[in-house]
Amino acid sequence: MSFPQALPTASEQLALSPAFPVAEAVAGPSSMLVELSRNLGTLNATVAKHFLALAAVLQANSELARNITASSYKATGSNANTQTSQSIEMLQQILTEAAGTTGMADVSSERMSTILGHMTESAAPLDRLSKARPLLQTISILSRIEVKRLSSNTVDLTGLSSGIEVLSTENQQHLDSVHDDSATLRSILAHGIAQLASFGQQERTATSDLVAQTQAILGPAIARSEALRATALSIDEQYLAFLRSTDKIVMSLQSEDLARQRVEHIQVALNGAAQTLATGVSIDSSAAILILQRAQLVSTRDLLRDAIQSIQMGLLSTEPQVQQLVERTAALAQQSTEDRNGFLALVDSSRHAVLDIFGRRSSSARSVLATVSSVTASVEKMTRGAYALERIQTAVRLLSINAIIKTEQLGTSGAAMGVLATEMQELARQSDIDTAIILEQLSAISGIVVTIANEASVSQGSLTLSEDSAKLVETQLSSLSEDIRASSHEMSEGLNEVRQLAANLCADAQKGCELATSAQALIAIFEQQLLCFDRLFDEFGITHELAAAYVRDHHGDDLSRLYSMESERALHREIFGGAAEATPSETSTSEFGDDVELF
Amino acid sequence: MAKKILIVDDSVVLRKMVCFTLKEAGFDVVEAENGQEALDRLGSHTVDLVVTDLNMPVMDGITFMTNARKLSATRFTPILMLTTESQPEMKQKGKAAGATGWLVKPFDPPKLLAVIAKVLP
Repeated sequence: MSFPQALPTASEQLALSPAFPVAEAVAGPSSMLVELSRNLGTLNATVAKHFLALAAVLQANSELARNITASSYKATGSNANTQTSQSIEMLQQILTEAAGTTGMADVSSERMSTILGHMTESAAPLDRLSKARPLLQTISILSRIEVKRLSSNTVDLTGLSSGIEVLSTENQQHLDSVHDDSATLRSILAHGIAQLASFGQQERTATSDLVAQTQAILGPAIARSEALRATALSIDEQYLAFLRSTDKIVMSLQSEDLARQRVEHIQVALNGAAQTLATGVSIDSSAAILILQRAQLVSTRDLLRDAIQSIQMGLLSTEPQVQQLVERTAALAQQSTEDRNGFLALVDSSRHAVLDIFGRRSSSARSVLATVSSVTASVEKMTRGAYALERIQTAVRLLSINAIIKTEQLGTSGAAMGVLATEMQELARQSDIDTAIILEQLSAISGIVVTIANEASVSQGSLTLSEDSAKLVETQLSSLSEDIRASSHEMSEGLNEVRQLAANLCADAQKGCELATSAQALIAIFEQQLLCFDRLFDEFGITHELAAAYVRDHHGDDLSRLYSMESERALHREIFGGAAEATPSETSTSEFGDDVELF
Repeated sequence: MAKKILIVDDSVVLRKMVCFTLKEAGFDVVEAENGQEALDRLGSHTVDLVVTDLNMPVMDGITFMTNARKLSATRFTPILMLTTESQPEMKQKGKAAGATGWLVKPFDPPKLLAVIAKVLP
């Protein structure tokens, strides 16, 4: 069965002409039908006007709801979260870095203890070198006596004696210096180790304090951030609820289109019937059509009545929804303000604490670096002294060789000088050993000192970074405070906006309800048109029973050709009981349901 | 940049409802009252999708679609029929004329947006 768009022509209707018993034709029935059709055209225009006004209300309300949502974000501070998130991220990073610097002091302390161990190793040879000092002095004195005793001899011993004397003096000076340096270094190391132990402890405490203070900010900051996210979600949910109501209104407003098309079809049918009557054909042929048009009009009236009621209900539901949104936004804004104030106080107090910790860390670190630097200087000085001693030992050894040569030249008279030469040789040999040990230890110490110096350099860098971090923390916390303080005005402004917009929205919704109420007048116009139909039926003697019998017995199936919309066909089935076959229902393969088909 | 959709319908209220739904979803919308006006609009606007009614005065949806498919700019542009008609024969005509899909009025806004999202290039 096909359903053409166009209604049957007059000749087609003539072909349907029934043996329909009607009352006698009255004067001007054709013009009555034309008048009714014209009235229905006016009705269509009136309905469109009302629904357009309601659509405008919906549009305005929707715009207001969107603005309310934006202002709700502003009122609760949910839109100023980016800077806070960045600050939180930065603080978390600084916290991680701060925790990573602990333990540096422990390592430095261990290294200084190793140096102290090397110093202990060099203590015995240094003592021995010290003890050798009076021996060299004795040799110097004895050599002077021998030189005097042998002054008449041809062998010149003056240079030898003065050389021993000079070396003895130099040896004494350098030994004193190395001794002093050794004592200084030991003292510095002892102080450094104690200082590092204290610093290590301080560093651990400071880092722990820093972690605690920063977390004290981060914890609430993250909680606040999450609360604001939850608030934003809550606002979004409210807006979505509003949109769902809007969707229902959108669907109801579309009833105007359906109603308009139906009324247009009724108009075409009435005009067709009027033309048929004008040609002198009996009203019988159009009775069933007229019965159906009346039913269509009733159905259209009901459709619009339901739509208007639904729109009215939808608009009415806006007010409590908006009130709820305002109350909720106000509560969220209040909560957000309290959270903000608490958080602000926490940030301010923690800022001072964190900066103080950074300050203490910097001060202690600088002191440790100064100690490390003095260790380096002291070791270098002591090493220079030890090398000087080594040079002296070499000179003593050369002098002792010279003394042996002179002794040989003196023959038997140089026996005493020979003893002195042997002693010098022995002294040089022993001093060589001791100086070598000391230099070996100093070499090991130097290695460690280089490591410490490198670490100190790194520490210096870390210290600079740490101070930079302190500045960064200060900047981030200030930024956090400023953001929060700045948002205060915005939040208060936002809440005022929400209240004002909500009042506007409620007023508009109220206006919409009034419009919907006035749209109820449309139903009265429909009633008037239905009365016109009834008057026509009375005049023509048309009864529903007769029309139904006619449709059933004669041309029911053909009448179905009148309908172009499924809603009309359904109505036909309802009135005439299956005269118009239902469109074969397709098994929907669309993921969107039966009313959507994608090709 | 927002996608542009041409909505063709002789009902002002229906056009307003489709426009409202599409604009709320972030689309740019161009309106036309019938097929002829829609063809004129296509001369001055590049659109990403067309939503058209079937029964319209001056030029109906099928004729409009047939003409639109002859234009190089809209040869492959998705065209959705949004109509009260639901007969398989009409759907077949629409398909033959180049329709991408068929939606029966009244439309459900989320469903219309879902269909558009599916067919938009």
